[in-house]
Amino acid sequence: MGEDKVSLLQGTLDMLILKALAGDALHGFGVARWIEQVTGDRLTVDEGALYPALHRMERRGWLRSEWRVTENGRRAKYYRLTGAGRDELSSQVRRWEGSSWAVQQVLETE
Amino acid sequence: MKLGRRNPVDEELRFHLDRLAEMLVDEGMEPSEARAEARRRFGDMSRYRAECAAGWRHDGSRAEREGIMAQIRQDIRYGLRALARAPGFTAIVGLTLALGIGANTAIFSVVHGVLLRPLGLADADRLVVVLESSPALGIASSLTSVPMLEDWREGAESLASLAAWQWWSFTLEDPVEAVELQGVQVSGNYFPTLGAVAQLGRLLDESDEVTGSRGTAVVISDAFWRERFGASTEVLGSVIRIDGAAVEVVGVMPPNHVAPSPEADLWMPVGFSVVHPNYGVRSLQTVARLVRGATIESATREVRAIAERVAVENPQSSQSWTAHAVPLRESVVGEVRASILIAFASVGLLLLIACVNIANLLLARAAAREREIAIRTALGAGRKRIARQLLTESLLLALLGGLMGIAVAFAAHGAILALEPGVLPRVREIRLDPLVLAFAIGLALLTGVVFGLAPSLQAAAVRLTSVLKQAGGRSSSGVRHRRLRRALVVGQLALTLVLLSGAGLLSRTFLELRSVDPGFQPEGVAAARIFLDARRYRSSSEHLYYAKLLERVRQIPGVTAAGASSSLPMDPVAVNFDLPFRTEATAGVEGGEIPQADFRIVTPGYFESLRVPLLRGRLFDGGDRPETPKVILVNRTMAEQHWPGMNPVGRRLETVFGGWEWYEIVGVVEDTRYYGLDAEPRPEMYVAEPQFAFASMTVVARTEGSASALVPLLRSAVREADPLQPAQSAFAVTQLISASIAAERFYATLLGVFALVAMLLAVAGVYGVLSYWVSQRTQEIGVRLALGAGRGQVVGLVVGSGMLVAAAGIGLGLLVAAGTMRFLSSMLFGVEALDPLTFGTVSAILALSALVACLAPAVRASRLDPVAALREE
Repeated sequence: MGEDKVSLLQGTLDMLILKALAGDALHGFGVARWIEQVTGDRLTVDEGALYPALHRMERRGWLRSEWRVTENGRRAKYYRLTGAGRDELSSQVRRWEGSSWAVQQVLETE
Repeated sequence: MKLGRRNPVDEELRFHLDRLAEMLVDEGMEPSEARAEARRRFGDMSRYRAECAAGWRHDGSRAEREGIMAQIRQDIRYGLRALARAPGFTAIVGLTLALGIGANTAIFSVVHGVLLRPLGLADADRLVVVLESSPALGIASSLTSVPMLEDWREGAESLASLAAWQWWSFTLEDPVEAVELQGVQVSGNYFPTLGAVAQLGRLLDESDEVTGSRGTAVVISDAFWRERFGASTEVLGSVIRIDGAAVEVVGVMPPNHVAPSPEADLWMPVGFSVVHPNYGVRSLQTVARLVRGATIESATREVRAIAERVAVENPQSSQSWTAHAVPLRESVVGEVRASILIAFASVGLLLLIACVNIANLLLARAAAREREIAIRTALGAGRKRIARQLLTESLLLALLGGLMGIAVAFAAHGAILALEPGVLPRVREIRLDPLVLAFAIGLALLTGVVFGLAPSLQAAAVRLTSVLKQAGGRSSSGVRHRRLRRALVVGQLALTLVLLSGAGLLSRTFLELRSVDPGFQPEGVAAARIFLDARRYRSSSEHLYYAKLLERVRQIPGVTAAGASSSLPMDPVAVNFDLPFRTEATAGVEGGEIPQADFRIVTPGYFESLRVPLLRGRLFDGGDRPETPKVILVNRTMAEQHWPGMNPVGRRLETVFGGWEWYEIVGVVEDTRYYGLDAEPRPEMYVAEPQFAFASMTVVARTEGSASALVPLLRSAVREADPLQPAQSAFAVTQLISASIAAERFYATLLGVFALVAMLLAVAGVYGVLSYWVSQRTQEIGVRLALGAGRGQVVGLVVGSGMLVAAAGIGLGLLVAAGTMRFLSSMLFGVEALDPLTFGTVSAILALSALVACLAPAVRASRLDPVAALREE
């Protein structure tokens, strides 16, 4: 594990998963790859940790899932955002922006 | 490892692991190594599997509830910290609120004690008072006569029982000195009718009544029991001497007995009866209990029918007289209800005005805290949460104000009771009991919601992004805040104007009353009421007693004149006679209305003592003896009514005090305001004391010195004249006048204080809003100054802005006042409810105060350094 890797802030994982699913439906493995790609391999997270989060968000109605057959013929569970999930994503993004602004303010205070 | 497809979670996780291993193999890893690496990257498989399954189980509303409790606790902690951080703000708000809540609580204790608290009598709703009245004579309510009482008892079926009572003055013979006591003579059924219960022993009943005279049992008051008998239970059965007769104490009244005779020391049973029934001698008060199902209306219908039948049969005594029944509670508190409610409404307005100031302070604070709130919002606090947070803070403030308000209430309560000049009935019931204190706390919380809601909604509506985008964190919602604050101040000024108008009208009423000429000069006159003991003085010796006493009084150094009268002007315990009379012109005429006039018995020296001006003829003198022709004086009103344009002196009139008799009119005296400064004078006749003996007279003496110094001398002169005959009371006559306008003074003072506090609050409100306005416009003002605007122009700008608010508030207030001042009508004298002078004056006062409030911010604005102001952004 490199020095330049940072662990995820608490609660941030949800936002990243939602963001990953903002486009096409993905299975858990796909979500892990998407996060890996967009962060340039810098975030460390147990890939298994995605699943409790996915299930939790599905229960909250932010995600919907369905079993599909992949291109190479295997069954996999695909997730996609619901309307509520989309709202949640935008509110989490706002909150994130706010808190990073707030932290910024704190840091800038002399 | 084969996990199979039975479990979808397993299948899902297995898929991930397989794909991860495949990916690693594609990247060039050995298959076995890739599998191990995939497991490492995936993490604790069994834990994640369990977590996936577990998540469904506790959605937990309990957890949510616990979360809310924790949030509330956190809100309170946070609120307390926030208040502690701003001690100045907290103190100002707390004090403002304490003032408002304290004043309201004190007045509520009056409302509760006087108007709301039950009378403490069983089934008090069925208790009524039956009154005679004569609209034609302008008498709205009057005592009644013994025969009328008996007629009602027989004929009025709505009345289950009808009791009679009258104030009486008793002489208690004490080994040391005789003492005069205030008491009540009651019919035997008085206490059974009321349903009153003794504190100790028993009360009186029908068996104590002796027809035509007093019984031998007495009930004493709680105060008398404590003072005289040290609250000992031994008092029962003890014998005291009242008016020369031995009577037995059978019971003690409870301390809170209020209706209908709260100030009595003792109650004596008496069998009211007369040998020759005379409907014209109205000396009894009544209290009756309605039968079940009867109403005030049915009782009134019956007593009225009986009274009107009597009026037809006895025109001499009862022509134009009728009767009605009123609820007992109404007769006790009816007179003061309107005044108390007006005071309550006024103090409510005061609280509202205080709330506006606090809301304004909170708004200003919210504006200053916008940044803090923005950060909290950014950190994930929802709008509801923020609003709740601010509301919690307001409620904490309100609670603080409420607690301090209770302290203020104790002080205000004491002040009201101390200032209260005896105009409130049931005054001993006015207490700060738990219910009244609960009212204070409830009011505090209510005000907390009222003044806290606006700022918290405002704060919740703050647009986060717009605040965030502002580099310097300056208020974005300043405009909205400013409008709301201005609207609040306009409302506040309007309410203040309403209060000022009310206070102004009541003050003018008081001044008008005080400037009324009473028809005599009370300064320098002392008086002593005497009630001769009927067993020791007969009508022949009554005159000798008063002659002897007056002789003594005239010898007191400094006394220039002395006399006595059967009643003094404005004396609340005066005995008044209202007698029919005929003039030479009407004597022979049958039918028609028989006019009536007040009838008083005075000694020579009475008019001289009070300096009642003589208009024509002469006053009484030593030559008016029982054996000389009967003489009479009339007042100006009577002379003008019955001998218009003529000189009545030398003419004769016939009146009936006992039997019809002719008198020669020897003089006309000026009107005196017998029934109060606000009551028009009525026709009056005066007869000379030597020609008419009378037991109950009030002695008056004018001194060159001070009347109050004369009072004890007068008292001792009475004692020397007959040691067994004490004076009932002695006082300076100016007290009668001040007591007669005490209620007006009390309410004018009360409302005046409220209005003054309201004005201070409103001025603070104007000042606050304007200061804020200036601070918000520092830059604009800087630009104006930099562009060459004069200091005067800037002052004009600020003052103009402030006075615009003031004008709007005053205008609105005038509209509201015009609509509401009519509620004061019953309390006014000599001034209309829509008095332009009062409205103009209070508007000017308020405008001037607002102007003063504008000046400081205006001057501050004009002294801004333009360069610094421009750089401020």
